[in-house]
Amino acid sequence: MSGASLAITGFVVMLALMALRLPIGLAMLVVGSAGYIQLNGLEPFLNYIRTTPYQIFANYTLSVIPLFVLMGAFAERSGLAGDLFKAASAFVGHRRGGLGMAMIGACTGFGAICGSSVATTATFARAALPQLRSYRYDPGFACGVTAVGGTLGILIPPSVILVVYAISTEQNIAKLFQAALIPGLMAATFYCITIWIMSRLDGTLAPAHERLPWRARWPLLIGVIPALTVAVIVVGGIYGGVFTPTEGASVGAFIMLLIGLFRRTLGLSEIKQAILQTAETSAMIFAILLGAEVFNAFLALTQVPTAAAEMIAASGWAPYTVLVGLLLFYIVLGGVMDELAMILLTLPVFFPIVTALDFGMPTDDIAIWFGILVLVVVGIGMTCPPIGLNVFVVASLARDVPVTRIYRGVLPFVAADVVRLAICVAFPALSLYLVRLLN
Amino acid sequence: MTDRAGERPPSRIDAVAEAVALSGGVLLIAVATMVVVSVTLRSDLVGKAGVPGDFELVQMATAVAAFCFLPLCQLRRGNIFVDTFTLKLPQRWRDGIDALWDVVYGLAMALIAWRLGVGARSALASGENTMVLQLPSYMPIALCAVLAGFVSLAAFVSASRLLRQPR
Repeated sequence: MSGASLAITGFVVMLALMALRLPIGLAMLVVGSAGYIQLNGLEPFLNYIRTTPYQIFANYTLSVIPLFVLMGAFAERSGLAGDLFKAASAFVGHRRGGLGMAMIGACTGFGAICGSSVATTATFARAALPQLRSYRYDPGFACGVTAVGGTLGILIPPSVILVVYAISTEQNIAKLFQAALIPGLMAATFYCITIWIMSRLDGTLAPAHERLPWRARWPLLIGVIPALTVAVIVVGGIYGGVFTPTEGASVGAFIMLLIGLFRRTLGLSEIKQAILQTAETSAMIFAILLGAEVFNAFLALTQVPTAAAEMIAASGWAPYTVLVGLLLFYIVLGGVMDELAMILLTLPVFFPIVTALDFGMPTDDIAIWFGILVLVVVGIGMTCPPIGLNVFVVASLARDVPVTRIYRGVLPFVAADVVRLAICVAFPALSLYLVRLLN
Repeated sequence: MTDRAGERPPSRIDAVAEAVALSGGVLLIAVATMVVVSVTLRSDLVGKAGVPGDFELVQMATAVAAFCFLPLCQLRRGNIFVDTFTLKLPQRWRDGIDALWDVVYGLAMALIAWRLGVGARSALASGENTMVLQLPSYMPIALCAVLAGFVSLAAFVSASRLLRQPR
C-alpha cells in the first residue's frame, strides 16, 4: 500500500473506532502503532515505543499544562470568582442585562488566572449563576451566559488550548498568549453587546438589580485586587519575558495556593480535591497527547502532511478560501468531537497546509494568527450544539434547566462568535499587533 | 459518559490510584515551589543564580507526575470518547464495548511498561546521567515503567467491573 492510501485507511479506521466509543487518545495510539509497524516494521516500532512515552512527558514545556490546571483548580476553590462577580455587579447590575454583563466581566478577570474553560464554567455556575436566577433571569439565558462566559477561561490567556497548540506545532507560548489578548477582550465585549441587545429585545430575559450607592461600590473593588495581582504577575511576567511559561505557571499555582491558605478557603480536603481534579484533567490531556504523538509519527512516515500542503499550495485556490474552508470544517467537527482531540488530530495535516499558503506575511506570523483562529473556533465548539462541553457542565450544576433551553440561550452568543471569527480572519493585525509591539 | 463506576463503593485499587495521583500532585507542587525559589533567586531582588538543574527536575517530575495521574483517570473513566453514535445501543452492549476497549488499553499500557522497563535497563547499563545534576537517568524511567504497569492493571480492573456489573 502506498503512503497516501495507508494514511487515508488509518484515518478512516481510527474515526470508525472512535465512533464505537474507543477513547480518542487510545484510538490514535492503536492506529498509529499499526501504521508505524506496517511502514517500518516491528523492530523499529519497539525501539520507538521504548523511548517515546518517557520523552513526550519529560518535556519542559509540557509541565505548563498540569501547572495551569492546578492553578485553575486552586482558583476555582479560592472564592476569588465570587468577589470578582460582586464587584462587577455592583457597578453594572442595576442596568437591564447588567448581571449578565457582570458575569462576563468577572469571567474575563477569572480567565486571566485560569487556563481552562471547564473550570471557569464550573466556578461561575456555582459562584454567580444562582444570583442571576434569583433576580429572575430567564433560566436558559442565564445558563447560556454562564456557558459562554466559561469560554473566556481559554480565550483570555493563560490558555491550556493554546499551550497544546504551541506544543503540537512547536510555536512560542508567550507569543501566542500575547496574540490572544485582543481577540479575548473582543470576545468579552461582543458578549456584553449581545446581552445588551437581547435584554432590549425581550425585557423579561434579564431584569435589573437594585442600584447600589457609590459609597457601597468602591469597597467591593478591593476584592478584585488578589485576582488582578496574580494575573499581572503571571501573564505580565510571561509577556515581558521575565520568566518562561513553566515558571509563570509555577508562580501562579504557588501564589494561588498561598491566597487560598491565607483566605482559609483552601483546607486540606480542598487541596486534595484540587489535586485529584488536576490529576484527572491532566491525565486526560496527556493520554491524548501520547496517542497524537504516535499517530503523527505514523503520518510523518507516510509523508502525507507535506504532500497535502504542497498539493494545496499548488492548486491555485485562494489562500483565504482554503483557510475559511478549514475553519468551517473545524466548526462542524467540533460539533461531534472533543475540541482538544480535534486540534491534535488535525494540526499535523492542517498546520503545514496553512503555513505554506501565501497571506503576504511571514510564516511565523501565520502560525500565531492561525493559533488564535483555532482558539476562537474551539471556543465556539465548547458551547455549540450538539456537543458543547461547557453547556454540559452548566447543565450538570443547574439540573432543573433542560439542555435544549441552555442551547437556545447560547445561540445569540454563537452568532457573536462567528462575527468575531470573521473579523479575526479579515484583520490578522488584531492578533499580531501585540506580538509585534512586545517583541 | 457513565458515572456508574463511581457509584460502587471504592475498593483498594481506587484508594491506591488516588494515593498515587496525590503523590504526583504533591510532586508537582514541590517542583512548582522549587521553580518559585529558583525564579526568586535569579530575580533582581536577590541577583544570584537560580537553582542548578531546575530544568531537569521539572522534566523528570512532569513525566513521573503524568504516569501518576493516568491510573486515576482510567478508574474514574475520565478518558474522552465519542458517545454520539452509540446512544441508541442498550446499556449492556455499551458496557461490553467499553470493557473491550479497556482491555485494549490495558494491553497497550503493558507494552509501554515493558518497553520503558527495557529502556530503563539500558540506561542503567550504560550508566547514563543527566546533564547538570548528574542524576542517574534510569531512575525516573524505571518509575514510569512501574506506573505504566499500574495503569495497565487499572484498565483490566475497570474492564472486569464493567462485565461483572449487576443488572
